[in-house]
Amino acid sequence: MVAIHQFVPSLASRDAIGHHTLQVQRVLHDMGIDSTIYASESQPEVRRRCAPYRTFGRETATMRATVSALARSARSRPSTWFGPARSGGAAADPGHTWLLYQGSTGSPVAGFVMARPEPKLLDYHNITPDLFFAPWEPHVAAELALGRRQLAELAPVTELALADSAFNEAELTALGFGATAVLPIIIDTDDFDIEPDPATLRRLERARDRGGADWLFVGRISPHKGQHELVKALALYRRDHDPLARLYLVGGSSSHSYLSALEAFVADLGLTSAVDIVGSVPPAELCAYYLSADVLTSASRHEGFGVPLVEAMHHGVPVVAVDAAAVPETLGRGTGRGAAGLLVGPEQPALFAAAVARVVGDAPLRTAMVERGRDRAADFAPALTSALLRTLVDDLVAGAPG
Amino acid sequence: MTATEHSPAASGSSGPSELPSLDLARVVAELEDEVARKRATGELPPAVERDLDLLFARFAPAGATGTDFDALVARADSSWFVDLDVPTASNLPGVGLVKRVLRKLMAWYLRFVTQQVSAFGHTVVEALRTLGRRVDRLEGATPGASPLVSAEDRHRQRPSSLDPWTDDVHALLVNVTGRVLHADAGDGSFVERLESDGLDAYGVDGCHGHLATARRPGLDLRPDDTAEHLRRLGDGVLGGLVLCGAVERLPLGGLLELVDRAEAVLADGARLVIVSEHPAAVPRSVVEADLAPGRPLHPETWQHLLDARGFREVEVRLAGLDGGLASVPGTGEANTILNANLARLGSMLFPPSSFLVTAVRARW
Repeated sequence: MVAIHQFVPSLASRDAIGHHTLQVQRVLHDMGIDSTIYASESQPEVRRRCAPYRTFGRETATMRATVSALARSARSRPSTWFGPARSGGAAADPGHTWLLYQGSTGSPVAGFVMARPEPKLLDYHNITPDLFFAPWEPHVAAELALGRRQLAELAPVTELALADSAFNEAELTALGFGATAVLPIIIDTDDFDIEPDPATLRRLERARDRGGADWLFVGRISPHKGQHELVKALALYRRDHDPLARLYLVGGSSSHSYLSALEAFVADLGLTSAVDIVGSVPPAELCAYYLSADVLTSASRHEGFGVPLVEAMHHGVPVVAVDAAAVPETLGRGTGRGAAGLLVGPEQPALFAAAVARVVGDAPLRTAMVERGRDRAADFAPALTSALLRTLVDDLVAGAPG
Repeated sequence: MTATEHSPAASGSSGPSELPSLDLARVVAELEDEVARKRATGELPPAVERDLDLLFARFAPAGATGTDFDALVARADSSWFVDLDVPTASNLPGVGLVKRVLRKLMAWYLRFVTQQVSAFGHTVVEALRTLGRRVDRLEGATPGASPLVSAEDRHRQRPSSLDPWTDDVHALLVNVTGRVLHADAGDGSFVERLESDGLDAYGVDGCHGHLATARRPGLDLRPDDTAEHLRRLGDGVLGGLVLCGAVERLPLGGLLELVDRAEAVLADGARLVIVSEHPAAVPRSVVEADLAPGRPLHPETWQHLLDARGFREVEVRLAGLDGGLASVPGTGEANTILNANLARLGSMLFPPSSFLVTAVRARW
C-alpha cells in the first residue's frame, strides 16, 4: 500500500501550517493513501491527531490496534496516531512510502527525516530570514538559521519539493532542489464562514459607533511582520485623515521582546485606546474581527504565503499591504487580473496611511477591490488546491519504481 | 454584515475615483504624488516620520532599527546608567510594600555593583565616541573611505586635460616601448594620438560621463578609477604612464599610494609623466578645488617623491611664467638684490598655472 507520512516540527490547529498538514492528510486519506502525522510538539487540541516523530518505524502491534480502534471512532476526520488504513510494519517499504517534511523552521525532525531510508518529499512554507529575529530573539534566530541549513541539506535527497508560492519555489530552486511544484496552502474556506462570536461583534460595533475606521491585522506579533510600522501608519492616519481610527492586532506573539517594545511604543504615542493588541482568538472571534474591519493592513516584510490575506479577501475586506515577499503573489499579482490589494513600499508610513484613507474613503475603488479580492480568494478554494495535490501525488506514485 | 455595508469613515485627502477598470498601480502612483506634494508644501514635515522612527528605536534592541554608528552610540549613551530604583508597584495587596522593603534592604549592595557597571558603561561609551571621531578623521584622509567626500567628488565637472603640455607629453612618450596608460584619459583624444603613432596605448577614467564623449569608437578606454586600476596591475607591465587629474584631487595618503603603485607598475626604463595644476595657481573651478578630497602637490614635492623612489632623469617644467615682473637692467649689487626680490614677488603674483614632471623608472 502507498503511504505518505508527514513530519512537522509543531502541530497546532490555529496555525496555518498545522491546518495545512491536517488538510493534506485528509486529501491523502480520501485518495486511499496511508498517512500519519508525526510531530515534535503538538497543541492539546490536536495531540490525538499526531504521533511523536521518534516513534516512526517503531510502532507495536498493540499501538496499532489501539489506533485502529480510535480511527474507527473518528470517521469524519480519520486522524489519530497512525491513520485508519495503515497496515505496514515498522520498516516501511521504501518503494511505496514517502516521508513528507513540512518545513518552516529549524528542527530535529528534519534531521530525523533525512536519516531515514525512505524517499523524501518537502512541503516548504518558507523560513523567516534570521536577521529579522537576531536583535530581538537570538535563540529564535539560531533556530531559523538552522532551518535554512537543513533546507539546503534536504535539496539533494528530496524527490519532490512543494512550495506554497512561486516566491517559495524560487528559493528552493536557488538551493538546488530538482523537481519542484507550487501547492498553495490548503485552506478550508468552510472554516471562514462560521457564525461570528456575537459578544465580540457587539463589542466591535460599539467601538464603531463612536466613529473612526477599523484597521485589522491578523498574524503573529513578530519583528518581520512589522506591526510597529502599522502603528506608525495609524498615528499618521489619525493625524491627517481620521483621529478616531483604531487598529486591532489579532494573533499570538512570537517574540516577547518585540511585543514589549510594541506595547511601549503604542503607550508612548498615546495610542493605547486606539491600538488593541488582542492576542490569539478562536475562529468565531476572528470571524467577527473580519466582519467588522474596514481594511486589512499588513506591513509584513517576509511572508511565504499569507493566509490572512486570503481570509480577508474571502470576507470582502480590502487589503493594504507592504509590497514584499509573497504578499503580492497571494493577492494575485501575476495572475493576469492584477493584485487585489493596494501595495506600497516598505517603511513609508505616510504613504501607507494615505493608501488606507483612499480605500476607506473611495467607495467605487473599495467595491472594485472587494470584487477582485473575492475572485482571487476563490483561486484558493479547497476543491482546487486539493485537486492540485491529488494530481501531484498521482504523478508521484505513477513514477515510483515497482 | 459585511465590510462593504459599513459607512466608510471620511477621508480627508482623496476624493472618489472613476474606475472604468481597476488599476491599483495607478492609484498607488497617485498616492505617492499626493504624499510627495504634502512633503513639498510642509503639510507633512519630514520630522513627523523621523520622530516616529526614533521613538520606536528607543524601545527596540540595538541593531533592530539599523546599524548607523551615531545612532548606536547615542543608544549606548542613553542606556549606560544602571538604574537602582526598581519599580515596586503591584496590583496584589501587600506585594508593593514587600518589594519596597526588599529594595531598601538590597540597596547598599546593588548600589555598589551598579555604580561600577555604570562607570564601566560610561567609559565604554566615551571610548566609542573618541574612536568614532578618530575613524571620521581617518576616513576624511583616506581616498574613497568617506562617503561624504566621495559624494562631493561629483563636482569634478571637467575632464582632466593635458593642456598646455600635450605636445611635451607626446614627445616624451612617442619612443617608449610597451603599453602606455593615460590615467584620467577624459574623451581619449591623447590615447587616440598615441595610437595613431603606433603606440600600444589605453586610457582609464573614473567618470563614465567623460568616457561617454570618447572621440571615436574602438579606443581602449575603460571606466575605472586610476588608483584602483593601478592596484590591480601587475608589476613592471607598463612602458609609459601619464598621470593627471587624480593627482590634483587625491588626498595625501592616496597620492603617496599612487606614486608607489606607479613605481611598481612601470618597467625598467619606462617613462612617468605627471601633469598637474600648480597649487599656487587660481583653480579653474573653485567649487571643484574646494570640494575635492585633496589638493595638488608642488612640483618640488613631486621631484622629492620621485627622487626618493629612485627614479632618474627627474625633470620639472613650469608653465605660465611669461607674465612675471621684468628685471631691472644692470649688474650692480643693488640691482641683483632688487631683481631677486622682483623674482620672488613675481612668483607670488604670477605663479605657474601648471607643471609637468617627468622621470624614468630605474630598477635597483
